[in-house]
Amino acid sequence: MSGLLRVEGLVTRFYTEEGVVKAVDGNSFHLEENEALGVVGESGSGKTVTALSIMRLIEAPGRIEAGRILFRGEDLLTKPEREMRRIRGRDLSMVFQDSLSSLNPTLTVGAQIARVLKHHTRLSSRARRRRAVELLAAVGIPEPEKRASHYPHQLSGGMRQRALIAMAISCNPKLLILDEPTTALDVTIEAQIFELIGKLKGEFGMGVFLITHDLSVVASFCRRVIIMYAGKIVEEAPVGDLYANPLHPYTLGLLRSIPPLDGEAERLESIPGEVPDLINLPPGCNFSPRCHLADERCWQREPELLEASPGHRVACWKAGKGGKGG
Amino acid sequence: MRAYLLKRFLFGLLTLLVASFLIFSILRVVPGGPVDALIEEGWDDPELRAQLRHKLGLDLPFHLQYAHWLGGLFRGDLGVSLVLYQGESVGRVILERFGVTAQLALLSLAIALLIAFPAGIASALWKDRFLDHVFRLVALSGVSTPNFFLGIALIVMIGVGLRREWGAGGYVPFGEDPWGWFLRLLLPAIVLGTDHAASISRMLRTSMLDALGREFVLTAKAMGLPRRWVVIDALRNAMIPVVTVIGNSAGALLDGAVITEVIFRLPGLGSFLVQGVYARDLPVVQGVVVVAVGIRVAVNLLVDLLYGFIDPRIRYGSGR
Repeated sequence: MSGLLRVEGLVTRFYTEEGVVKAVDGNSFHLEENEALGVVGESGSGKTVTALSIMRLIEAPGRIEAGRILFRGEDLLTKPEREMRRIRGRDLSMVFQDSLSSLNPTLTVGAQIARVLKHHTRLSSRARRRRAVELLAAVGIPEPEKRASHYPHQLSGGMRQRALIAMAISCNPKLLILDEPTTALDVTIEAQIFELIGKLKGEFGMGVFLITHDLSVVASFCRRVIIMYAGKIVEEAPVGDLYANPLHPYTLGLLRSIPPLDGEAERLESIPGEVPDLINLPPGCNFSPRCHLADERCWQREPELLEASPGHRVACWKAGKGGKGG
Repeated sequence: MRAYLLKRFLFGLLTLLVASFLIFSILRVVPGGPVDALIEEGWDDPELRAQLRHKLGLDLPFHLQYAHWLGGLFRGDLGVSLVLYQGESVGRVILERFGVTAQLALLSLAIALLIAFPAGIASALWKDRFLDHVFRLVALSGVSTPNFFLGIALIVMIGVGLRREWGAGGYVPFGEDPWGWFLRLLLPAIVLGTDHAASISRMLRTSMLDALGREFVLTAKAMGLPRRWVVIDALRNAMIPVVTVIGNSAGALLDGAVITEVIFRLPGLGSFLVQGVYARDLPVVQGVVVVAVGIRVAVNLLVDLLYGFIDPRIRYGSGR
């Protein structure tokens, strides 16, 4: 069993009063050391729930129903909560989207980093404080000593996101999950943040699980990409392959909705229709109600995720038939 | 923060001024006065009345009376009791009575917090579970039971049924008889404490649930931090509305619990006010009310200070 992370048949559901939400529905994927895997999809496609399932942070009314999450060969789903608390933040870490609400407003940034170290290491309180300042410097925060004694609201958005990353990498995790880490930031800061994460990845051989809805971020940062739709992986491919040869009509739609940087601006397209209700999913392919290629078979039977070419998997009866010409 | 506190302080002074004017004028508008209380049946005669009014300064024009009283107020002189303790300084009596009220208030507040915090936190952590429902029921009955009812019920059940001295009422100074002091204050403190515990614990539950749902709690969990730390994080962030409610309770308790003090025959501010009203002793009523307003203003200022202590965003302002 190789690989840093291997997720097999993960099913996560939420038992709400309106019904059972099939947030993640039988997904499998893997992630290697020093690899960045991009996960792309609309809101509600199950990206964040997948990440929280890996972290084992799914709370009632949610439940992980089936599957295995092998992290360095060990199944996280069989581990007691006590052990998970030692793994989280140390080997397996996560950075959330909104840096302002993700930091505790009543503690200084330095103190928040230091207490993660307190929980996971045997460093003395002075050493922890020194390390916190070092970490803030490492993520490129100017005047780290001064900033360490600041409260989150006293920092800019970019600096807060860096501080959050500093906290997440404080114990050199093996796997870092980033949930849309730059959505709230402007483009130059975004580039800086990804440069930083890329550097850290190279230094520590860290695996990166990057959740985003921005395919251009994935293109520049990730080696492989997973496209999710309504709780399911619909396509998985090396980044270059996905751009050159998208197989799923949904992927194609996503790619067509990005404005091109070069050449004549083609007409930007949007995918008609809406993400289906995860409580009442259609019987066949989840995408069939919005798919212009869908026929009888698509409406009735669900396609499996099958390998189309080495490393390139797709779940579509019409795989590739959408073609570039549509 | 400092400018803000200064502003609040000045507003507090203004509140006091307005309150002093209101209470002074209301008492002079309502019929009846100290003269009625002082003249015994059968001795009523206009000349005696006029003499008394003149002696007590009640024949002066309204604005002069008010200016006179207000001037005294600024010097810390609340005037002299006309009926209840004839000739005695109202300020001195209030100070003495306030001691009793303050002791009762502290004991009540301690009981309230001792109940409210565990109950509120447990209700939030085990939302909609058995314990939460139990606390909800208890809190609801707590706020819906009038103090006079619970007070009398406790006297009947415990004072009469179990231990005579517990329900005896009255007051013994702590220095004279610590145990007796405690026993006499315990029942009224339970009556007041449970009343305030209900509202504090409900606010704590709501605000704690809100804090637990915030993203920094998820971050703390994602860093593997122990559950205890996570709960303390949430609690710290949940404190602002809770401190407001506690401040209200503290203010209300320190003003003197009128009904409870009367039921348990405690010589505090509340019962003093009642006596003052019955006796038409104007300076007493005015004095107690002004002091009560002053206490409220002071407690509110203290609460504002506490906000800054709890939340750095208030302490340093929201700018960078």
